[in-house]
Amino acid sequence: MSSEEELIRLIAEGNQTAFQTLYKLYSAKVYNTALSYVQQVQDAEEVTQDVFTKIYRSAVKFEGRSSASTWIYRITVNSSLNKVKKNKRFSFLQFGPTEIERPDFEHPGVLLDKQENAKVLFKVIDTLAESQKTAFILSFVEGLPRQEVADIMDISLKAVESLLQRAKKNLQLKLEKIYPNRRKK
Amino acid sequence: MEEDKNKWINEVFNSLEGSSRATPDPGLFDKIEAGLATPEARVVPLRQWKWAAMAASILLFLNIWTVRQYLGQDNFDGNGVSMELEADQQLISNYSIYDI
Repeated sequence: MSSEEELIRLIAEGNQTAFQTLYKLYSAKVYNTALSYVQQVQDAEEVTQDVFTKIYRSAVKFEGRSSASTWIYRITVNSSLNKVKKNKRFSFLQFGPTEIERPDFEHPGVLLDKQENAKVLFKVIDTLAESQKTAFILSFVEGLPRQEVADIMDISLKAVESLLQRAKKNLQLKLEKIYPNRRKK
Repeated sequence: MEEDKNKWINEVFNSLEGSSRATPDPGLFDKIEAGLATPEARVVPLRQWKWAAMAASILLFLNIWTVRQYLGQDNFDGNGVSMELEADQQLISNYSIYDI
């Protein structure tokens, strides 16, 4: 049993120190992943809160069939996708500002000179289908190895490669459409 | 032109290179702990509501159908005269209760 799985076992027993240690280890990973999906600081914090609440309450159910990291990322991806769906439903019912009017997302971790291009990238990532988006975010934003992405998504390595290929192709097409408008600016 | 476009697309794809992970607000852990102290709200899954709505619709349909059957076939003949009323009148005339 690795130290992280041991931490989850201790959390299941109600150990607060173990919970705090796990939070220190994973809060940035969870928050950063959530931020790539929801593209809003407040929503990403809500997702992070939701993920750690689930970890605390479901630690008893953790059987160790997957690694602690895979389990935590899986919860993060599901919570983030749920938040995105909830936001879409809410914006559909609202008469106020729609998603189109939402300001471009500025990722706080991106280097200053690459910020403008990163804004465009996150905008097009947002248009991808759920599975392509997940494969792309976990691989290229989080920088996880392909096998771990496959484990988190519960699909084969080959399926991940295929999703990434389709995601890149779709992103390329969308960027090609954006390019003329960008030049006018 | 084409070259510029491809260069820009590559730059967009590589815009995350060298970036660091964003970190949440330092006070978030306290917020999570405070949230854990409050009892978990019981959430009724949407699936259950769907079944309840479906059952209610079936019951409503059966009620309407029964009432229509009752009003349309059992109690009225083709001319709209109550068959129950007609039966009462026949009974009264058969027994001839006012004849001496």
